[in-house]
Amino acid sequence: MNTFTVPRSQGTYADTLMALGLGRLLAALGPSEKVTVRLDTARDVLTLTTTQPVMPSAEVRLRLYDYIKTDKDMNGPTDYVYEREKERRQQFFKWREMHRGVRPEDIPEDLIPRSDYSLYSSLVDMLKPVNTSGYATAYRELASERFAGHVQVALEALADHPDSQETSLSERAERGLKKYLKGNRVNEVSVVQIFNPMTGKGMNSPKANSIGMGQEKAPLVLEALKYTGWFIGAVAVTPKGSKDLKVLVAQPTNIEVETLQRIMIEFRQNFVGGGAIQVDILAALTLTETLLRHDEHKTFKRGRPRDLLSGFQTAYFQNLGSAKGVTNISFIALPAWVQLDGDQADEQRRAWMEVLAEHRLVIRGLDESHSEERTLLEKYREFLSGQDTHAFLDFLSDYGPHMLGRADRGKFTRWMTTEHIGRVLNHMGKNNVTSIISDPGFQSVAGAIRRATRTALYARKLGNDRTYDVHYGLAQELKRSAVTKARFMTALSDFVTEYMTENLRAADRGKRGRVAVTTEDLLQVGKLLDEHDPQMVAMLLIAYGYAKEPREDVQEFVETPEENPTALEEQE
Amino acid sequence: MTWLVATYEPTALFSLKDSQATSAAGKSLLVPSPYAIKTALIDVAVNWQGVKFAQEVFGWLRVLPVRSSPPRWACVTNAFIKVQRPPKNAEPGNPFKPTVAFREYVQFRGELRLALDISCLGETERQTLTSLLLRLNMLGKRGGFIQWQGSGELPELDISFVTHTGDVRTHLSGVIMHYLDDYGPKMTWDRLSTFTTDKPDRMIVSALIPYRLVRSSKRSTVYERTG
Repeated sequence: MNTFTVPRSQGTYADTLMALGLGRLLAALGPSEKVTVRLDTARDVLTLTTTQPVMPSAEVRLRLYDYIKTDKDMNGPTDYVYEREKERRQQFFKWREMHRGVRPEDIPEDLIPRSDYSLYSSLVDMLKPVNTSGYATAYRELASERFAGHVQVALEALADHPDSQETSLSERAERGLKKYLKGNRVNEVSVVQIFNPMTGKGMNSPKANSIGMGQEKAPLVLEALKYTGWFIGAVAVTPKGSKDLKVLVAQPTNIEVETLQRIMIEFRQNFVGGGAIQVDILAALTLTETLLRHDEHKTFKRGRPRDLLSGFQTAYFQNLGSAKGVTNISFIALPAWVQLDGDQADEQRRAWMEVLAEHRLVIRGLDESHSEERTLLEKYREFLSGQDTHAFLDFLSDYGPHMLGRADRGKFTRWMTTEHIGRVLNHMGKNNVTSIISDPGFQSVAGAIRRATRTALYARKLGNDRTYDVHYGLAQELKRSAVTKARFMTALSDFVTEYMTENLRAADRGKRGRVAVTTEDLLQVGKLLDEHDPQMVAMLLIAYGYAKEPREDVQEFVETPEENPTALEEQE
Repeated sequence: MTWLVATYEPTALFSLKDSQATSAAGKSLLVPSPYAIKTALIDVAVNWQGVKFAQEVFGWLRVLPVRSSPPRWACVTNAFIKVQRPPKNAEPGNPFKPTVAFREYVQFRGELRLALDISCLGETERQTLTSLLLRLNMLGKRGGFIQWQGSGELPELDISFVTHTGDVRTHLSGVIMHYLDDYGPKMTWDRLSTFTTDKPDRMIVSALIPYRLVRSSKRSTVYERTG
């Protein structure tokens, strides 16, 4: 068994691109090879293993990535003719404009543009001009008779040999270049920021005695591996309403390179972007869904999708007019709460797909250009990537009241369901949430909150039933008072008093009443407050109180009856 | 082996650009590199007793092995700041133009320890080094203040210290890999001095930082020490 390692020395997606490129190279050198890439956390390296010895042949030249041919490049190879693909894409959008309402599955296949178009267009934008960039130089060089020499340089530099780790990767590659390609002038290329987020054109002087700008150089073959990895694991997105560029690269934990490539193809077909924050969230959710769905042989029965791919390494290239500069480098993790535990894996898979679909639709329904919804998206992103229970509760306790406001204005609303909220919270590691949400007192009070907000609003809007008041500011009041147990209990008691008074008044007028909140329920909530953080209990009450119960009739628009309050009363 | 270990409390945000990074996107190291620590001590020596004394210190400090033990927690904040950059065509009298660039700032919680191998030093040099470490109050980018807490000698370093290639490595549940720079064998005072044009001799060492990524989002990443 041969092992190769790519050190994660940069801590950006550049290392991952190189590992994926190396995986493609190894697979190409041994066609029957299944190359697995693993993250070795004890050494912080990406490890790739092959069962057969890998030997480059001087006769066989492999094409690692597509050459991008533009109009200005008259004689270049025609692997990917950029203008033709651009035209095809424009035609598709024109067709769609003329055929509004056509379902995606009814669109003629020959019209659909390639889902990886943005990978090429972003390179055309960032490597101006492409045909004289290192990308094209490396393509030509690897197509030459020196191909085997370059491959030898890469294999030696990345071989997992203890002695070879004593120097840096580029030093090892430099040594290989002298050994195998002596006298070759084009064995180094400029380091480009789209493949190396932290090494753009700029100053990198070892001594503060000059201000010279320059572009770093690196061994050609190492950069060529990154170009190869780009088409395997990268996604390039232009956030809605901007000219910026967001690059996301899937970070492997333990997966075959070929499988990763297939998953990313499927991901690009399913992924629909949005604003900059939405892109982060939707990418993580869509990749998790793709990983769950992709497992067509149902081999993945235990564990989490992030055991295969841990998340996305990202870089944000802000449009600065003349060029795009990096303003953020980060890592967005896949949710840890999505997990299968072996027993009833198929059932769990289906349930998680439903949860993820609900979250995705909720996120897509928010508009990043509105400050309130932007804040909601930021909270959700914090929860998703940081696995932060508090951030999720914070999001939920703001999302419900926000949707209530939208419903009141007759706008489109999408509620989260209590069942899915509970499923997520129960899988978020060590927290006290399970004991709180299963408490009958908690459920009773949350139900009262729901009836005093969502149910009352829909009864008023749809059934013109004004029996009960809509408690608009209840969530804000409960959240504000949750600084101490006493203040929160006072605010909650005030609400319950009003709720019960309304019930009595309705009964007095001969109207049907609502389920009462008993003293036992309040006592149980009081006990929960003694045992837990009042802020968490308050946020959970709001989250559950403003969420939709699974038994409610599911409708998305307020224009059509969302629920029948009378029916609800009967059920309760 | 005898290690002189100085303990500090980081009191401000730390940032030290990775030597692979350019000014276009200053990703920070999680620990000060041996190069940065030695240069900071030389700076202390210049300010304390002048250049001649600093040159003497440089003579024996240059070759000392240096290791650091990062604080228990580190939170890296992703930020972009306004920077000055030389334009393609500079106007007379205005060599820079403002733009924005990515920078990382690290907030530490816990003690930062710096260890220097003093086995080959005499008693005078050891005392001098202790005095220099006592006066060291800044590492990395200007403003990365640290407060001296104390110092002592250790026969060997524990697993909370960074391991370089060639060190005896303890298997940890998680590490972060960095290429750290150190003074190379050809480093001289003139090569170090910013008043000359001689290129410094920087040696890259592969280092494993005993940190584990705990939480990450667009704006920040939290690490916890594993050793």
